[in-house]
Amino acid sequence: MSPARALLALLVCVSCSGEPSETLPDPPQKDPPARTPTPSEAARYGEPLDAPRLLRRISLDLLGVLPTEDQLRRVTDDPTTLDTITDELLSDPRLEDRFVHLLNERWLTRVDAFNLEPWDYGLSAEQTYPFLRSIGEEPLRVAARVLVEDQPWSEVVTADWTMANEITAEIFPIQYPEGGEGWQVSYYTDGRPAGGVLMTNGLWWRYYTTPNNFSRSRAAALSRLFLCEDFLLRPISFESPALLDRESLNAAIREEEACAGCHSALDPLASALFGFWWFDLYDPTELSRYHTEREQLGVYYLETDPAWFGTPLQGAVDLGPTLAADPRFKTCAVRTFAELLWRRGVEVEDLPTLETLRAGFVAADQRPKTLLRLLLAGPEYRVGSLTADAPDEVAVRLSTARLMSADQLATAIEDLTGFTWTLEGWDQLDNDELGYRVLLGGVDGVTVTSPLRDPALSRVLALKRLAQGAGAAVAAADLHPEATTRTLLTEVTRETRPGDAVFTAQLQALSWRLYAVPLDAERQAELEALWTAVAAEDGSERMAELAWASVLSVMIRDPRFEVL
Amino acid sequence: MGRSPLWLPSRRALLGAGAATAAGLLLPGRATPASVDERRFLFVFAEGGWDQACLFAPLFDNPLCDMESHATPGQVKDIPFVDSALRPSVRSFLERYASKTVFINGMESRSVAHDVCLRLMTTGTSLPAADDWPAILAANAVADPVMPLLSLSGPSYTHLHGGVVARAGKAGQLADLVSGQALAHRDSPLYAPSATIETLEDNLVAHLTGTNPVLLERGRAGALAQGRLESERRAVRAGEVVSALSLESAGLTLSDDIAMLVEALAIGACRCASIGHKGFQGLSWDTHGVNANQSNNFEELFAALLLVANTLAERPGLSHETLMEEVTVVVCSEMGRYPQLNNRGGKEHWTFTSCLMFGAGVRGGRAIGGYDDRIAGRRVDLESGDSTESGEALVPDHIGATLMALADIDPAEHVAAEPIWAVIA
Amino acid sequence: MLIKRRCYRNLRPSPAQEVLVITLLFGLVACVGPVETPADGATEQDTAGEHLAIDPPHQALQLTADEALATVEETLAEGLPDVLNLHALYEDVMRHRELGDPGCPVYENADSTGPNGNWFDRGCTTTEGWTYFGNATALHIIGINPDGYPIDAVGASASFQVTDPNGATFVGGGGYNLDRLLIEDGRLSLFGTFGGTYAYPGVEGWLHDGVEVSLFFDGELNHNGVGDTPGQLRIDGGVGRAEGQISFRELIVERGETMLLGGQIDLRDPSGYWFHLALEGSERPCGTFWAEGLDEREVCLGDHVVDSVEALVTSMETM
Repeated sequence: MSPARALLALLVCVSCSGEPSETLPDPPQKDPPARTPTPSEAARYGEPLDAPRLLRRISLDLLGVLPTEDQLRRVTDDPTTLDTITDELLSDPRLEDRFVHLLNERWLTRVDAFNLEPWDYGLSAEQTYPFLRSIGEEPLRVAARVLVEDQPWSEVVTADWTMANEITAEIFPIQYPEGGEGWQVSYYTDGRPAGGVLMTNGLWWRYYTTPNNFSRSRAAALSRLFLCEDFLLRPISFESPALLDRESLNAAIREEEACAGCHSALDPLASALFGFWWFDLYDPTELSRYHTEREQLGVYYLETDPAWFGTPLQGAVDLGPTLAADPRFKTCAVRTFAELLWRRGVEVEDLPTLETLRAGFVAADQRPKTLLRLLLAGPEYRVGSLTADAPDEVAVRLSTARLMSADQLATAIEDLTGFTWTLEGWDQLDNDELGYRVLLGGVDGVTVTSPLRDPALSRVLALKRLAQGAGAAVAAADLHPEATTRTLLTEVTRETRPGDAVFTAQLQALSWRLYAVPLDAERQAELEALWTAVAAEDGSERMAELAWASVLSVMIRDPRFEVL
Repeated sequence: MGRSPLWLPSRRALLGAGAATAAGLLLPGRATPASVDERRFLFVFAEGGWDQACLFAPLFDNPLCDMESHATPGQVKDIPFVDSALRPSVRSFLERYASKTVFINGMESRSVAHDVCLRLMTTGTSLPAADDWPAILAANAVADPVMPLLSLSGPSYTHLHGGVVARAGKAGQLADLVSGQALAHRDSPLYAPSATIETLEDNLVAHLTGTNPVLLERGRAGALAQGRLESERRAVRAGEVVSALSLESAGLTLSDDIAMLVEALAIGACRCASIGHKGFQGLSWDTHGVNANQSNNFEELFAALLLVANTLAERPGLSHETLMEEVTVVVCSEMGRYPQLNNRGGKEHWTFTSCLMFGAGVRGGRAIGGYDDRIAGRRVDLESGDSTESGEALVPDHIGATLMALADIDPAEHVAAEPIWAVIA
Repeated sequence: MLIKRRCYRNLRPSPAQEVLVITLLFGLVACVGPVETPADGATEQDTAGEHLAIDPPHQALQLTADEALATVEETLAEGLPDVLNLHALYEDVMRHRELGDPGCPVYENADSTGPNGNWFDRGCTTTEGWTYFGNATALHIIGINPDGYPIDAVGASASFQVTDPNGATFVGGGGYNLDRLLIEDGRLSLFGTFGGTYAYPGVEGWLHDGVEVSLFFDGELNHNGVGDTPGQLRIDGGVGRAEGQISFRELIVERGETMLLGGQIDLRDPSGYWFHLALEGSERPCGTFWAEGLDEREVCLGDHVVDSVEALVTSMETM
């Protein structure tokens, strides 16, 4: 057991049951002496990916697409260009969509059902999918826009604007830019205070409260999402008080120590959220508007004024700025982005790294792109293999490889081949009603809340069909006799055969593009053999198209494709 | 031209051998025990929060609890329950299988938010980095089922054991992926390649997966490669199983779906199978309005459970006389319902709830725990199952620990609670 | 097959405990650092071992005190939302339902003919030209309760849009209930909640331009205003209109030969902060007026406050 884990175990034992241990450790010194930071585990026991594969990982994480041939060439010729290319990626407009999906892994608002349906607003059934995504993406779009514009991250909870599209602009009290299309910065017109994502319908439609819960679950969600503090993890043991009677319950919450352990902070926080209190959970009028006259209902229901962990709030208007000023907001932002990019949870051993990241983030005025650059430059992110002397427990912890997420697969393959999979307006890779989102390893936000981190049966089958579809689509398009532009098969024609220099060049280009590794002779032979066998099996005038479709399908199903 | 690659079968082989056989031979696998006596589990999850006062808590004498006007106290063996002529399947089930059934009452989830309770009830924690009970049980399967955990619908939380979950999709989408029909479900339909071409593709993929040099690497890279290899092996085997189950028909009725999962368990295709029930006609268990729907929900649920129990009782097991000795059924919901009706005729959320188990390993014929006069859970002596002030307050971890004990897994490695020994035969 | 039971005490931290401690440690480490001044102007003190005080920036009030007082008057000019009035109006519009199979709108109880009950419709129009969309569950009970007291109770859970033949749409979303019980000595005990969003341009008064309501009533009044001792009604909650948004905090109405007002009335400033008026408990709607950053002053509200409260109480007294 590492020293850090021993300390952790000791601390946990002290806290686990509320009973003090017999021997307490010495309290930490108030001003510990300065010392040279030890290298992180990743720096000590990890070897970074080579530049091309690192670029591949960065491109997929920031944009959800594979790097271009030009980018790969640049970084191969001069690995020091990686930082420059990374900056280019950080300025790419596709960054916004990517972070909508990435943040969703934490905020879980892109769900397939809310309390209301399209017909409640007079929308048609055909608009169900865009309706769901429009509402669920609102808070994510706000955060992604802050990130893309590199505004201080505090803007996420203090902005006086929201993001809306044509659908939300139609059904919510929102001022949408005239002539605007798609997601645009917009403004609510119902008097809600500034508060960024805290004042979006999308967040609170996802995290709604019930009539006898009085916004406590929302307060808990707020703490969990933006402070990384989960009230439910507090090790508190108590006899359940009378829950039936609101007055008795409120009294117990104030007077019983075990209850007060959470509710002394939870209830005042909940008291600040009553502008979103609804008297009918399924009424569009109630759910669409913020209700300013209800902001003080927390005093009535919870018998407590709004407060932020002991600091009184004058009202909901103070919520966003107070959250932004809380140091935990920044630490949570750092931790959230670290976990999303490292593709693993943070461990005790990561604390020194996280603190360094936090210091850099704060020094840069909370600019998210600075944080991203710091993360992307760190050994925890760049690690690709282990040193020979890496201990087993370190080997398990370091994220030397990770699976492409479902949305990364979708966008990467679309960018690569042009292939999309829609059915009657639904993106089949982004829904679970009839689609394959969770089968591919994605999240649905409610019953599946973590992306798949290991291959599974459903995923390999979904990937198989995705690969077949993509291969067939791009081969048909690129090798069409009248094709004027090519997407992927840019070198070959229908007449090209294995053994031709052009054929080999095409395979090399594909290997480089798909995996950021050169084609080796053995792999080349295997793919040529496949091409030949498929062409021979078909024998028609389309045999080249089918053969290339199979080659591409197999190359996408190659384990190297889905691994970053 | 050089020697043909090993993965590339002869034309005769292509035409004669099935793709599954051909690809399967190329995927190195682990030896499967010839016969493994291993308990299997069916999880049925009533999504939305069932009303304990409609089944588990006959609190007719408690003025704080609104009982249905058509309900009456019932009892079969030592299982008190809420009976009603509107849900005859409940009584039918208990009259036949009470001796194999246990009610576990008064468990507290410590929250009333659906998403949090779903996680708490199935993993014991609100942390996202946790595997649920079915995943843990499936990951510890000694046998090598093709789908260690077959998840049709309902909550499915994984962290370390995502590789064992075969998600079938609410509408049985997995079947379409196996058959290739999935590509036809597209605005511009595509079609899977011919069987022969697909075999060629599958063989090469199997070869690439099986000879991946990363397999030998330590750490995550090696783990991913191993996981991919394992998944490809299962994919090869999945075709026959999926066809046998008629998975493409999933999503129509609860009874049919559960029967499908029972079949999967019966043939050893999975160690765990899970399904979520969204109530009669999908009207939800979350009855904030019209709590009367709970009765329809329980009727539909128990009609399906009765069919399950009948099948388990009649069908031969893999190594026992009947499946009833091999399969344990777990039925639960993420929360209960507030004891009193609201002004919509519905009930809000309640943090105390019940679950039931029947089948293999279950010491049936009784109800563990209960509800006190405040409709809070009673403490339970885990050994005897008696309600006692000195007992433990039941939380989901107790269910998890009990399941692991039933599955011959050390609970201490996964949960911080002891099993309810009184439930275990 | 069953494993042996064992007594165990696992010193290895559970994942939940690990996360909790990581959160605490990261927060502790984060607190040991220089004072920061975030871009939004808020200040924080990051001093190890000391209580963390967060002082978020405050925006300026947008209304002057006089404007705020005038806004209270304007908001109540059309009267307070009256749940009895609303329910009566609801019954009126629902009496225009078209009976039949399936009927318009479709009622759950096919035998019912009256306005109350449970209905659901995705949009239908009667031959008279009334259009019903949405759903509602409504009741109106007039009778004797088990203790022998006369009772008049209304209640509804609503999510509807009803358009009259003139094209005006009655929108109702929310829920309400008001139970009135005639008890001893001519007293009327009442308790209720009135919440939601309602509007009906087809009528004059408080509902015409729409209102958002979140009111709670609890009290004992004199039946039809006749009694030896004053009745008392407590009102909590809010009323929101285009003119303004007000909130009552334990507004106590003592209704005898005169009407006394106590408690607090708050008005929301467009900045998001609130003005407060603590009533002195006299016949006059006067009291101490203040807001964050404003000096306290003694003020009196105009007639609309008194009139609207009086009208509401009169409505509730009448049974």
